Amino acid sequence: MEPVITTRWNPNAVEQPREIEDFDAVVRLYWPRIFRFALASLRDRDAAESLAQDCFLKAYRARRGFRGEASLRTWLMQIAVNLVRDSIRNRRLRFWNRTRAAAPEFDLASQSLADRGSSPEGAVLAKERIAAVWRAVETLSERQRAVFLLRFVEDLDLLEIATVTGLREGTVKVHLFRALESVRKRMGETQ
Amino acid sequence: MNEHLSPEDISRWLAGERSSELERHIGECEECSARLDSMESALAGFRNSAHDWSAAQSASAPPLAWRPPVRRVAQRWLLAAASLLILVSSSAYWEHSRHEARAAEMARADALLEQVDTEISRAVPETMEPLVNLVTWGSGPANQGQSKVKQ
Repeated sequence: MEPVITTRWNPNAVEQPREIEDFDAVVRLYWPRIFRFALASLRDRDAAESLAQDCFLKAYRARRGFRGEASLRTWLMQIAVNLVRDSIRNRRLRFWNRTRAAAPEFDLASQSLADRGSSPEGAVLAKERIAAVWRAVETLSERQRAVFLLRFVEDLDLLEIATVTGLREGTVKVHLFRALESVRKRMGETQ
Repeated sequence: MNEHLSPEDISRWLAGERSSELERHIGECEECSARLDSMESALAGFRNSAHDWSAAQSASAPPLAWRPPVRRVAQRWLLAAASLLILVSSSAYWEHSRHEARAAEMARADALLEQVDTEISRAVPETMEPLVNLVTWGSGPANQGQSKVKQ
């Protein structure tokens, strides 16, 4: 078997700001992405918002050091991934926060998708499967979750994920494979 | 490859490890293709739900609240410096105006004194002129009222 890097989940075309100095434009462009990644990782709106602000603040302070070796999106995502990692580690100490999963919002999200489905049975099934993925993601290790979300929510390719996480591409594949195995098992896909 | 894909094969495929052999099998085997589609559809649904949830949550959150406190501090300093500059400039301007007004007043007083001197000199009757020629008038206050009789 000859492994080939997939490009099935192509990243969305994102307009790169010409000048990082126009930081308001950078924030406007990348805020939704950073916030989304933080929200999916932490499942807490306030924490996600705070993290997104920290991310842009850090980027703003370090903007002079940005040389453009990686894309702005990759650079910002790299900062966000580090902040999420730190946040998760800190939250572990505050055990009461672990139960603050945003259940109603999550239900709303899965409901909105179910509404797009065709038949009521199909919609219910889709909703259950999506809920199973969310539950599975919650049980993943910190790294597996980051890699999984970057791949299947943020549409980053393997090379970008490697850059963002600081892992080797092969390691990213391993984490992704394990994450998918957990998700698949949680969904009951054993056949 | 005649056998169906194993669950691990599907995960491997989705993780990005693909081979021409796997691709060919998926193209030919309806059952495996359907299993793969099902998994991909769940992942796409998960993706959409994450995007929808995030959009719903961030709708009420203004994205420009990120501005660094450093900038606010800098703005405050700038404001303070501008206020100080205005204060110093206005006080200097006021002082300058005061000085000019004083100088003008002095000039007016000098002109008045000069006019008075002229008037006084003109006020001497002709008959008194020989007498006036005999004396010299002082210009300063110390000499006021004093006169010297020419020898």
